[in-house]
Amino acid sequence: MSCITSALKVIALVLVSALVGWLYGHAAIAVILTLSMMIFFWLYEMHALQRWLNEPQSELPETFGIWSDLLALIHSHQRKSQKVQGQLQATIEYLQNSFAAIRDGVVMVNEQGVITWFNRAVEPLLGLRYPQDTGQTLTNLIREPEFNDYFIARDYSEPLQFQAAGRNEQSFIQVEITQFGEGDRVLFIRDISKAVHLEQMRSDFVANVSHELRTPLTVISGYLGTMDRGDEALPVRYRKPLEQMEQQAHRMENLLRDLLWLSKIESEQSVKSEETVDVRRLVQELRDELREAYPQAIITLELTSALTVEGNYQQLYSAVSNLAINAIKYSNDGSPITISWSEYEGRRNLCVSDTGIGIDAIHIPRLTERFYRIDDSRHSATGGTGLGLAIVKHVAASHDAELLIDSKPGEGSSFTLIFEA
Amino acid sequence: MLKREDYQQHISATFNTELESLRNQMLAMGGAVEQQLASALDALLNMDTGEAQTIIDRDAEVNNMEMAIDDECATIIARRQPAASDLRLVVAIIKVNTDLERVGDEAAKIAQQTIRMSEDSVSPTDFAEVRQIGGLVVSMLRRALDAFARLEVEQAVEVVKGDEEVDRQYGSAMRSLATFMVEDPRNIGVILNEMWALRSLERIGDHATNIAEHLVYLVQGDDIRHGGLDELG
Repeated sequence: MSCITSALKVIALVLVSALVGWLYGHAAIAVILTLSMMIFFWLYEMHALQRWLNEPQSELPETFGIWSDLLALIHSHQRKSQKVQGQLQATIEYLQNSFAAIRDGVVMVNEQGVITWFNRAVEPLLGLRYPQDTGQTLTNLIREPEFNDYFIARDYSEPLQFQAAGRNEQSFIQVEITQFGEGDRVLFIRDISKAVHLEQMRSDFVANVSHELRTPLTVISGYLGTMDRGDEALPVRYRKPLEQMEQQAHRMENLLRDLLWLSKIESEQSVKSEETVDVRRLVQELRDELREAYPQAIITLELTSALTVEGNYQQLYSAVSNLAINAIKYSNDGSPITISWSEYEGRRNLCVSDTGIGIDAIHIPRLTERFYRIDDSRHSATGGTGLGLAIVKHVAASHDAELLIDSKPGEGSSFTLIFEA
Repeated sequence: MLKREDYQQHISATFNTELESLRNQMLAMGGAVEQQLASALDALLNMDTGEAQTIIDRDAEVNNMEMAIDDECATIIARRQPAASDLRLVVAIIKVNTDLERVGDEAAKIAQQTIRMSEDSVSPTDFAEVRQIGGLVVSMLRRALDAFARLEVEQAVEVVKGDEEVDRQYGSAMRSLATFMVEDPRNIGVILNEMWALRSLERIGDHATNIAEHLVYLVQGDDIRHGGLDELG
């Protein structure tokens, strides 16, 4: 509309000036003069508009006609977009504030590993400086080699725990990384020193208690051993109790031995590079020992692979021997147990299987817990400590091996240690 | 003043990334060396010979990193013929590289002393001096490398000044250890070993100082070695 009125105005102005000019006899000049004046006026208006656009904070210029309409339109658009921008900004600030308020450290890192944002909680955890360190490459400031390797490898399925040495105090840090967008990553950082120390205290406690109990127990079982139960002087009613005392003392000794062994292998994180273990020799040695201890057992060996395992001989031996002794205990006399060492598609399998009573599937997930018993009636007969499979599990973990348990009640069980290539 | 953004201003984008990755590599090596030093101190204070042996074995990795960085520097000089701040960066990294490798060597030496001391009698000093100076030196090295990551001259100057404290403590530690030797000559063997470990720590302090000085050179182009610190003001 305003466009048409403006056009009409222009035409009217031109006509009026032509008329006035015609009266004086210079119609053409009058029209040219009017038009050029109009052009200058428009230029001035345009200039005013441009100045205002450059500095939106300044006062609105006074404009006329189509220019004032234009200005009003631009102004309303601007106000609208300002409002939207303000809302967006508020949302971003709200989100950032909520991130910043998280007690855990949060760091956002882009594809190149450059820090794009982090909250204040990171400062004491990793020693970054808030907020100046935005724009730095993260691994340049957190230089711990474990972290560097973990960060670069981009496999974030497991959180990383590492010791941030050299800062104010030695602290254990846990980092969880999530990838989003195109290679951007967000890191959640937590101080887990307390949990680590508690765990340390727990395992120290178990080890110390076991150690302290061993001495008095040795004295007790030593004296019990020296008592000759065939002695005539010993009243008959004491013979049975003494026999039981000796049995139980022996059980306690086994228990303490296993507890100490378990806490020893727990404290060793990785033994992969310790030595090269010839599994065939290990299994043969184990068979010879079992023949002595369990003469009635039938043990078959199937050693089809000549491959070795990097690790600790003693630990592997204890794991396989625990599995084999379990197999012997839980199968009927005369049914054979098999120890096999084979390779399949680069994976090495060490399998101990029996055709004994088997285990119900509901027990399998909890089988490796310490002192887990399928039923209480069993343990007195077998005399185990309840720690055997816990030991096996730990040995498997420290050798990066997987423990696979397969069993059917009535048909037998197989326990397989799978070593990845 | 040199800023981090200055590396981003080359026409060749690959040159930018080459320089940036060179710096990242150097700092990664710094991280490895820092860990070697921290572990060496731990091993010494706890007399953990297993850990000490691991440190000695791992020194080869640090050496390999040094060679890789040197190689990279030579390639950049040959291919890009850097000038001005780029050249200073490459030169500074070549020098820091050498210092870091030496720190690695000294850490391995401390580990070696640990093994030797474990075969000896127990030290009567309880390693108070090693603890003290070790803490200072670890923090110096960390701050020097942090300064390098942030291109921060003030921090670097702090490190250079901090070395005086290490030297002072080293002097008094030597005197106190000498007293132990005079008191009981049977301690001489073990205390001599401890002195060697302290000597290594003191050298590491010097290397950290060098790293900080190279940074000042990189950022400002001033050479503050050999008493040039005062000129800096």
